[in-house]
Amino acid sequence: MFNQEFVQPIKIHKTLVFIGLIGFITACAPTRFVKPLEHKQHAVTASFGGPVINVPGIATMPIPYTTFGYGYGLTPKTTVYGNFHTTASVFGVVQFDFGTSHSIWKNESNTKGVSIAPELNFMIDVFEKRASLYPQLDANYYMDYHNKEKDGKSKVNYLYFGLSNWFELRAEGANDTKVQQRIICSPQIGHTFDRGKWNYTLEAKILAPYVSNEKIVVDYKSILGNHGGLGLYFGVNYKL
Amino acid sequence: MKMKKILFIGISLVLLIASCRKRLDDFLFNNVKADQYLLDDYTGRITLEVGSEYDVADSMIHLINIPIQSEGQNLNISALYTGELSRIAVDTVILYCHGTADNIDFYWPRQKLYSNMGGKSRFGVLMVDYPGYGMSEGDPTEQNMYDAVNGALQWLKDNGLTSDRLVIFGFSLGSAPTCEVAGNPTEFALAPSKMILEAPFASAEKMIQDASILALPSSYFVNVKIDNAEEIKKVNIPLLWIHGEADSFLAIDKHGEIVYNNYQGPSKTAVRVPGGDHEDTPFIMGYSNYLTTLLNFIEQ
Repeated sequence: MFNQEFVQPIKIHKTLVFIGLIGFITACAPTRFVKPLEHKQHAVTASFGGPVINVPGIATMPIPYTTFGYGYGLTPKTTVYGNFHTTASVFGVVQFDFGTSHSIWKNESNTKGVSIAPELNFMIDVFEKRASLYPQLDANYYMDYHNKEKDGKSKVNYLYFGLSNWFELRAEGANDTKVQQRIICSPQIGHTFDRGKWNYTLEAKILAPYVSNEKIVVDYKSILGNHGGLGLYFGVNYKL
Repeated sequence: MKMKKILFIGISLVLLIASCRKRLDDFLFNNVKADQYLLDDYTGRITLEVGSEYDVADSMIHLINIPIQSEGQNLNISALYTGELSRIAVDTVILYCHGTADNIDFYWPRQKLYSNMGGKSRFGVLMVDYPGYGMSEGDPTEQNMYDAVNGALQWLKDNGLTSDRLVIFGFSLGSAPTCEVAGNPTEFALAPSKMILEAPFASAEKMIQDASILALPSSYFVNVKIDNAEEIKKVNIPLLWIHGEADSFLAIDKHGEIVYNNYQGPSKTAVRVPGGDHEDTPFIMGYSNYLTTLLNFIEQ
């Protein structure tokens, strides 16, 4: 008889990397403009990061999704924005998101507040012209801390946490199977270093924490073990 | 002025990146090229450990070169036949379509098992390396994988095999050419009389949707159109399906069950293996039980 440990499990490295590139596309960017821009303010934005996967023999790392975009302070409370997803475009998929970030509550000094960001994610591939539309709704609570002013320049730090929700409009998936997850809900926590014209954001999401990450073709890393995934992101805004 | 500059740079960047149009098809194939096959002397990772009772005599091992034309290329495909060549014209032969990993050396222990099913070298077994695998020329694509399998079928036909004595067996990725041949028999050199699927996947699109959670079209990532769950609907020969209930790569309920349930042919047999993962189902069943299951299906 042979011992179980002699049996070498298959290690499908390339396939894991491939599926990893697809994985959790709902998690391809951090929340945009947790604090809406000032009225008539313009800003360009970029983000980098995605779900953390194990790439066997290489590393455990976030998938490098990248986006570039633009935002505008439409009113004192509302910022409109749009972003182009560059990583998707490398694979022949034109992906944009358009949305608004709206302040629904803030204290008098604007050091604490709540914002919501309804958004539409649109994708179409150049090969078969198959289009997809995913509504998204993010909601975040933010709070400033340890703010300073030096040489006339303010240095603002704020923490935020909230939920990012994607909505699947298709009821049926591949091979006539019922789509199991119509709402993909991901709690998130982030930190923004606002340095005047520039600000930098680090964000972590727990992606779909109620969904098992076992028995699928990608090795997601999650702080919850066999459920969900972990997403890590870096974002930068430059106010014009 | 600054806005115009940013806009110009942004649009240029978008156009540049969008022009790349990289596809991920080649990531589906985990092929390893080789100058030669080492078989029992191979020291790399292998699919299963099997004992010396499953050894195959050197005289029964035949390395075959099969020239094919595919997608405008002339390719030499390597295949390994175990058994007496003279019996191809008179006995049942198993065409084994291996999975995505490495090449023939990785799957050699499986060929040894099948060669010893029902007695020493009872059945002839042909395993083909798809283009880009092992000693086969080219780089793998969906179409040239099918063309390589058709080349193997043509070689068997040229050596006297008839359709009524052909059993086609697909494991994991190999379920794609197996379903393609069984579902569209007139397009291939031979039409199999029975098919075996072990740990098949439903479709490329299903794999993508498993990973992304969303119902995304597969065309966002790959050109391949592999859809075993559709092809199996056209199959009109008996089916044996084996799948580990603990398959951590292609979950039995999301892949194997769909293929099995879509089968509408004359008879089907399901073997769900408790505790079986993607690769180790023969071990979990016990090699003897596993081979008896296959043998009963082939001989019934």
